[in-house]
Amino acid sequence: MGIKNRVALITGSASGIGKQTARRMAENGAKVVINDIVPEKVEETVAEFAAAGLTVMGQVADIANKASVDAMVQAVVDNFGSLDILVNNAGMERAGALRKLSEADWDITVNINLKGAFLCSQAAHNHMVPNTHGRIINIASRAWLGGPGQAPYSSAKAGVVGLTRVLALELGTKGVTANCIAPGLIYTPMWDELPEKNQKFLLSKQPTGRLGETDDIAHTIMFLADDESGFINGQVIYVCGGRSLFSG
Amino acid sequence: MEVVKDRVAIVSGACDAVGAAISTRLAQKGATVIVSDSDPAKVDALLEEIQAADGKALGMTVDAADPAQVKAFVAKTIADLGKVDILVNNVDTQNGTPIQEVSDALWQAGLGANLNAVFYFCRELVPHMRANQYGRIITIGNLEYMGLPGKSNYAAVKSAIFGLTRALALESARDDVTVNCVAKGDIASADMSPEAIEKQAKGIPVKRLGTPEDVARTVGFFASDTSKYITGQTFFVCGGKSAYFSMSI
Repeated sequence: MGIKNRVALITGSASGIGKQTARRMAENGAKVVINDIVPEKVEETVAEFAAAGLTVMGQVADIANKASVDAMVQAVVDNFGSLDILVNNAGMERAGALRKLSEADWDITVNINLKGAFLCSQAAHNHMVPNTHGRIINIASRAWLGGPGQAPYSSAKAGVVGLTRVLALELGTKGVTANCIAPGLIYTPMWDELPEKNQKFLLSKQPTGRLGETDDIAHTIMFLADDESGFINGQVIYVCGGRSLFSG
Repeated sequence: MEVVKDRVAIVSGACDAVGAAISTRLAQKGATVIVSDSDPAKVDALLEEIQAADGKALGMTVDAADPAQVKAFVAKTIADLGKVDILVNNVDTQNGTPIQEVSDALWQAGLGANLNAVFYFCRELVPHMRANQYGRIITIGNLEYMGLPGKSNYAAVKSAIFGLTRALALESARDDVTVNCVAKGDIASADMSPEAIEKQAKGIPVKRLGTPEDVARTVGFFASDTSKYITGQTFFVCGGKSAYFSMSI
């Protein structure tokens, strides 16, 4: 029942939504793996969680690199004995008008958000299928619906939605479910760095008139990751205060 | 795990298998549940079951397709308990029929049972919840709203839930009132033969049918205090079958 004693790898979990999800999952009895590409951030988060008595390990890896991902997943299985829950959370955005975007902007955005989710799912499913149990949860974005200036990010996140449906159809027969969360505006320290004018504009389009919290996503991830959520498969759930009712 | 402790929840159409599972689940998690349905004997039986497991529940016989009865029921509930925090519209009459056989009476009956009943409850409770600055409304839809041959009348009324959910979500978004739809897929029922279950399971990516509890725990998730940032959504509990339909995201 629940996620107790399940091994959960959350990519990009040294800050923001990923870190809060890792904390909540560990508090609920999961063994969590902290991942980031920056070693110091992983060390800091692991030390913080370990000091709080949580079961945690760290893995520095570049999720857009197959060898790096394979080594990470193998290390998780060697240390904890299995990999039950994969949260493809790591992401980044290079935004800008079409004429201003470089090929490098496109490549890095698609590589981190989409290729990363593919490589991690591929490596993880090798360990989930033999156990006839697994939960893959992809963090897309409400922005997959399309917004001006978001060509690489919207495209990559739309790819994540498609990937989720493929995984659900391919792996569902083997006890492994795949679902997708599409967050809207969520408060993280990055929000404070936005100019006030931009904050006001974004909030004016928000049906709730306010931002979400990292816990809103963490709770949704835990619902989907639960042992008892086996009949929920191939779904996209927006956690966005109703913002998904509009694109643009 | 959902947080619904001390919330007051109305479940309409509570006495089918899914409604009973939802009512039982919410009561187990500490909500006070008012189970309503049109058959007094069934209401009493469900009430006894929940109370025997130490759940807090009340029962009410209501014809959900009669606006006067719904109005009186909601008013009495608010007068007695002070508030309603959660509404689960579980009314579901599965009367899908090839169109040449759909009589005016059958069409109207489906409209009354599956759509009007949802509208009447929402009309009474949306303003109440907005005034209270808290509410969780969950309507039980069906994957078949996506459109299956031979079930046009049922698909039509279940489709209407989609738009109703979105419009009400936007009307209520600033008042901590969320409005969502949980669309169920193939759920095993007690009267199905093992052969029928096996055959139906083949058409579902997870190769099994759902249970009423699969729907109930999803309703619990949307009904939770912690799901405050999720509104206007239609969410399928279907083992992945919705991925076979193009408009299911």
